[in-house]
Amino acid sequence: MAATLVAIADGLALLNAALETAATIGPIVQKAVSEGRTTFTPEEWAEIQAPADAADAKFDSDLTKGA
Amino acid sequence: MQSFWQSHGTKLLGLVVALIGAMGDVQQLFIAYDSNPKHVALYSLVAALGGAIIKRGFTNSANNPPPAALLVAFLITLPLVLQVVACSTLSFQQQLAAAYGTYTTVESAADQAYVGGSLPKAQAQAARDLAKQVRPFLDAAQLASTAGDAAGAASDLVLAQKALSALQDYVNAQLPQGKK
Repeated sequence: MAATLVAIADGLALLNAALETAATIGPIVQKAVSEGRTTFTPEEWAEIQAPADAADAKFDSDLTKGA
Repeated sequence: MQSFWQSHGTKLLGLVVALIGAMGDVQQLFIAYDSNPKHVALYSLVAALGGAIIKRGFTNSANNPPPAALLVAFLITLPLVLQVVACSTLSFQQQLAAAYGTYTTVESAADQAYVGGSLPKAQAQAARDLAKQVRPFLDAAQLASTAGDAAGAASDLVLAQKALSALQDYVNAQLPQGKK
């Protein structure tokens, strides 16, 4: 039972990561489209890149903690 | 004598979670990246295919992999499939934004697999090193595109996508269900 709960927790965490990424980037893309733009402002690019920056930092942190 | 639920409960529960997750993931990414109603059927087919693959993994494997491992593989593959579909309808910068999303999801999946114990330390470090090779190409494509260098940006995005594909293949191969 414990292994099942861990597996489900891992799966839900992954889903959460994917959905967080979509939830961050999606509205930026939709806003640009609604304004008739196919490009992004520097501020929007910073928002688009933020989840990647966070993922980089978390992976590095987890690898360091696991050493 | 074990009951049916004692014998198969874990597998069934994992399958249900994976399928619900796959459907939700597809719908969220669909809403985020694409509002063309013609693509709804295509994304639904992708979700159904993913479900079929997961189910096949459960019924055909002699050593049934844990639900999380199957879900990891599917979540790593799904954004890349969606990105290929999206590339036919999105502008260059929208494609690049989608590539950042794919990068983040693949790296998060590798990180989660490491934290969850599905990916050993050495392989996780190798995945991180591969990710470090992808990111500069994405950033270079963004800078070139913003500066108006369309050819340079396109070239960098192609390289980023190739490196991203290599990262996905590596992580998939290291997970339990990827090892034969």
